[in-house]
Amino acid sequence: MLPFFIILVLLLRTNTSADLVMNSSLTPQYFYFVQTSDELSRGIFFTNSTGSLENKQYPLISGTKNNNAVWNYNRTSQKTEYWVYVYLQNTEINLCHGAVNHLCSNPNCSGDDNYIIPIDNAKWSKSYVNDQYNPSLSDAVPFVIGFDNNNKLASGLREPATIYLRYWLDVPPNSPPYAYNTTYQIMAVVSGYDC
Amino acid sequence: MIARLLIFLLIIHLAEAAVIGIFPVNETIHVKPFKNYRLEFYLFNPSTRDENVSIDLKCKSNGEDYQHANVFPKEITLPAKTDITNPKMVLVEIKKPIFAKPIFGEKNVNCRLSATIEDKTSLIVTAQINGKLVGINPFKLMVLLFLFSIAMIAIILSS
Repeated sequence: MLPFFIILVLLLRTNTSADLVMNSSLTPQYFYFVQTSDELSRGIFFTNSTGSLENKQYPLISGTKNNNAVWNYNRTSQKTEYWVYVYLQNTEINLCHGAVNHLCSNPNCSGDDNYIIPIDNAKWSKSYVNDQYNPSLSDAVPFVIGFDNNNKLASGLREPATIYLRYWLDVPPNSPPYAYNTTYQIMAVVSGYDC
Repeated sequence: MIARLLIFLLIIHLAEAAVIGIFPVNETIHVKPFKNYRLEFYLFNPSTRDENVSIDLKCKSNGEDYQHANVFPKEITLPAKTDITNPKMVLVEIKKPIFAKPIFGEKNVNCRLSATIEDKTSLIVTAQINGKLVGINPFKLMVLLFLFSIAMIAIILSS
């Protein structure tokens, strides 16, 4: 009977303590970090043409197009203050961004009295160069709800890089005067996977 | 006085940037029945301000949510000026209960660990875990049943 019990125990062996399959050393070979600029961390606020020159937020007018985000053009350098820096070592990543919702007048877009500005009225442009002309409005693509896997901030990044960004907003005609908000997200994923 | 004021403004200015890092970034595992697999991941924050980070784990197997996976903790405060030498650990645990699919054979499971700084602009870093869920080995089961039946016969005969 003894061999039987030995075999039985081996077959039914349950590992009550967890198996640690990976124990990272504190000097990893593979890692990355992502940094957003000060102004991007503070949020993207759209403004009118005067506010764009002064880097201040002023109310927008219905029916106007290509309203700048406040820090699209720093009034002294004409450079954008919106950027994302990625440092990585021995890995390859994609960087995506997107809005969680349309621009809504109520939190979470809830309630019958909620007004929306469809998110495709907002557009963005990217560049590895930061000057008066880059990122360019002519290269801008509209936002979609969620992460746009067809238009990533960066694909297959293997070297540390800074991606410079600008944002614009068209205000549909007859938009009622409210503060419209959404949540903007930036996400890094391992290359080969969707955001 | 002006120099002091400028330094003060500079410090305030730098404190706005959000930074978060992660490692490892891509892991492969085999999850067998009766075992709990634990993987350590590390987060760090080289910026000059502490960050509150929410942590999430989503696993899918054949397009369906795989529920037997968890991450601890769900929230963490990442102290400022942490880097790869002094990061904070999060623990991912993945199980394969015996009656969870697949009971026999193998199935892929893909998990994404995400760490998010909730801010006006949310910043999310992710790591990928790819694995196989391994069911019971039919040969082992046959042997087990055979031995069980012999044991039953032995018990009956001895009584």
